[in-house]
Amino acid sequence: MLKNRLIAVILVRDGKVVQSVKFKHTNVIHYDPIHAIESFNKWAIDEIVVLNVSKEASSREQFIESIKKISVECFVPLSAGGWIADLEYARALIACGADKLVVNTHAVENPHFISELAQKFGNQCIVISIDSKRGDDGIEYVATDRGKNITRFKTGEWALKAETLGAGELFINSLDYDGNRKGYNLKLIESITSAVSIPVIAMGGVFRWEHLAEGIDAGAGAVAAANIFHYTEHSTKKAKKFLIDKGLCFRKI
Amino acid sequence: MIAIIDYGVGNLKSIENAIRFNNDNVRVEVVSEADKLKDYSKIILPGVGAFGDAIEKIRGKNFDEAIAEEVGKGKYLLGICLGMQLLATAGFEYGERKGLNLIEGNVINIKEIADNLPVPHIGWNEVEFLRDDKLLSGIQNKSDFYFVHSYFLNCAHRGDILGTTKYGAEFPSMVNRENIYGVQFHPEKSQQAGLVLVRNFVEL
Repeated sequence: MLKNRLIAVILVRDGKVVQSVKFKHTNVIHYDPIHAIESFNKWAIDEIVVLNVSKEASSREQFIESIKKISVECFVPLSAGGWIADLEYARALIACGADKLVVNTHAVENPHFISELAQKFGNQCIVISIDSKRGDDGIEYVATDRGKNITRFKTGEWALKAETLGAGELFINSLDYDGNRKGYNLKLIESITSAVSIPVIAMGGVFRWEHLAEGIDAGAGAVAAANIFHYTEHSTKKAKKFLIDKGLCFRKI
Repeated sequence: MIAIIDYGVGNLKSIENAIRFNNDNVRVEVVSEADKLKDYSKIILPGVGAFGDAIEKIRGKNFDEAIAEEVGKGKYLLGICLGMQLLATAGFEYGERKGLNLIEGNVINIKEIADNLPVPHIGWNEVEFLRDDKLLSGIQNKSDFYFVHSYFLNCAHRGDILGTTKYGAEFPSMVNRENIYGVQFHPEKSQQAGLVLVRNFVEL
């Protein structure tokens, strides 16, 4: 039987690992991403997602160097994302060690890009990241550009479209919950997991291990967090133990 | 010295990293010319993508003959993911194609056993070892390994199966016949269990 997955997210800005609070990335946690990998208990995490949250597209080359370094010590699936807008850059990330590509803004601007990527690298390689913001009308809308731009696309509809176009997984974060320590936006996660048949990765807001369990209960196949794993010693191991002790189906450590 | 065969598909860097990790003295090289294979003592056949495309590229570079020759001398061979499937007699992904025929059996779609579970089969899943083997030394039975695939090698002989995994029904996730090994999962992405397996192969 397939296991649920525990995912550590590393946010890289201008080559440094940063914290995210409501999509603001100002606090530097590590000056070199390799320290983030080392500081995790490597044996407990099931997957690592590294996202380039730099403000400038010119950060792309430096990000390639970060992925290269990380991949040497990463023996779980490694996903890379941020500023992926063409096949050539996607190929470069894979060539330097990424197993999956995480695409957000450019997929919204050019949905056909999802199909292009899926045809080239296979669906299993394509993770569509969706940042969502609750509108005044109570409906969730897709945000792009690291949360700066709220579109008129409804999150639920975009999730279904991304699946149809060839996404292998969806990575769901909420602008309202990111870094707020109250746990995932469970209503949002539930509405998406009940609509699509591909795995959903829940992200944003985890502060207690119980929040991870809530994500699984909401139907997510994988639960992700960033900040909390950096600030608690042996954090990923403790999180894993909590989830397994709770009777949830995760890879044993 | 270990050769990782490069026939033009996939990312070979991760496998190379896994071999180098904790194996300081081992020499490992990516080999893209078949006539160089004789200079190495062990061979790794990696692979992602479709069976037909891969086997044509292998034949196009004469790796099929070189692999058969070196394996005939008793050298250890490890096929990983599609590399395991290529060991089979034939594959049926986009039409029938002959494989390397080192492990008797056909490569078929996992849909046929997956009982409506999603295909590809992606993620961490258990491998049950059917017998003791040096490749499994120090790895707990039923450890989880990382899988990404849509097809599997349906062995003709039960005796060739070293390990099985359940996805709907059971399928062979590890094969072994004498000096030939194949694993359907990615040891280079399977953390500790995978790294131990890689080290065991290096030490065979």
